[in-house]
Amino acid sequence: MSREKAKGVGNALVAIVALVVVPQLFLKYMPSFMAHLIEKFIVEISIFGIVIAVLYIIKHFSDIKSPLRLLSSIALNLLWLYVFLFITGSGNPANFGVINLKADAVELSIYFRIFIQILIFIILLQILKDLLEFMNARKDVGKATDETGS
Amino acid sequence: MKCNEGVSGMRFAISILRALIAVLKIGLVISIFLTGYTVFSILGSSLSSLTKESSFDTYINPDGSLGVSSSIEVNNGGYLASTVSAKIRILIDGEKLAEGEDALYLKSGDSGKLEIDLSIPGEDLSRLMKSRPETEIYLDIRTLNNLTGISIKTEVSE
Repeated sequence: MSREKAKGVGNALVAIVALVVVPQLFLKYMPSFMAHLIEKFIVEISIFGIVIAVLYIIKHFSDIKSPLRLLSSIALNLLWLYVFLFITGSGNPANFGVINLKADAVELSIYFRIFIQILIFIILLQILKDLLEFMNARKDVGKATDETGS
Repeated sequence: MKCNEGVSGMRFAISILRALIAVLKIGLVISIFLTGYTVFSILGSSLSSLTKESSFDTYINPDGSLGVSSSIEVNNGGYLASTVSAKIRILIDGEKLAEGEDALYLKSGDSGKLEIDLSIPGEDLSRLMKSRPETEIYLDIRTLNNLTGISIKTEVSE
């Protein structure tokens, strides 16, 4: 197996462990009344985990010059952002960095919108990097073809 | 020649982007850790001060109004400077009777005291005795130039 494919398998395994195995274990060892409340949330995270793992495999098993690699890479970045917003928004990504929790007479609000904004900036840079890498790989191919042709 | 320059320029841009992304990711993780640690350390100290001491003192002012004063010990055991504010409101049947607030700017390692004074007008004292007043306590902790933080609202009815 090439280094690139091994990287894909490694990333997919990390995604499965982080988003499927750990949340399921968390659910298993939680008191049953609490587990019942967040079961749907955990199942949704696990589904994202599986989709992300599949995208990692597609990305790293496809050719570096293939548009499929670029598309899967962009989709991965956007999906990771969505998962982060989903988890930090307690199942509602529209909360966008503000968590509001209420239990009896206590209301708790946590504000971390700035971190989400920085994360979006990082994701945009990452997409730009993926685009440049794709264009670079294509240019390299063009150059090699020109040299062989001449 | 031009093609070679274009390719090497693109490679240079990619390596710059890679470095920038790595720096931003590390910076983000560090700032999340520092913010979380600072906010929860202040929150812990203020909540223990609120629960340990019976921090409400009452007295009658010369004008006949009832004064209520409260103090909350706050300690910034975190790594970032923070602004801590607290507000206390006394309500009867949803109507605000008295309100007081205080705020403190604490650098890392600093401690201070939030002093909150409320005054309930004399004419409202009979209502206060007859009804069941509700007390709302707000605690707000902000750090990273007030960009992140936590706020807690507790309702206490007697």
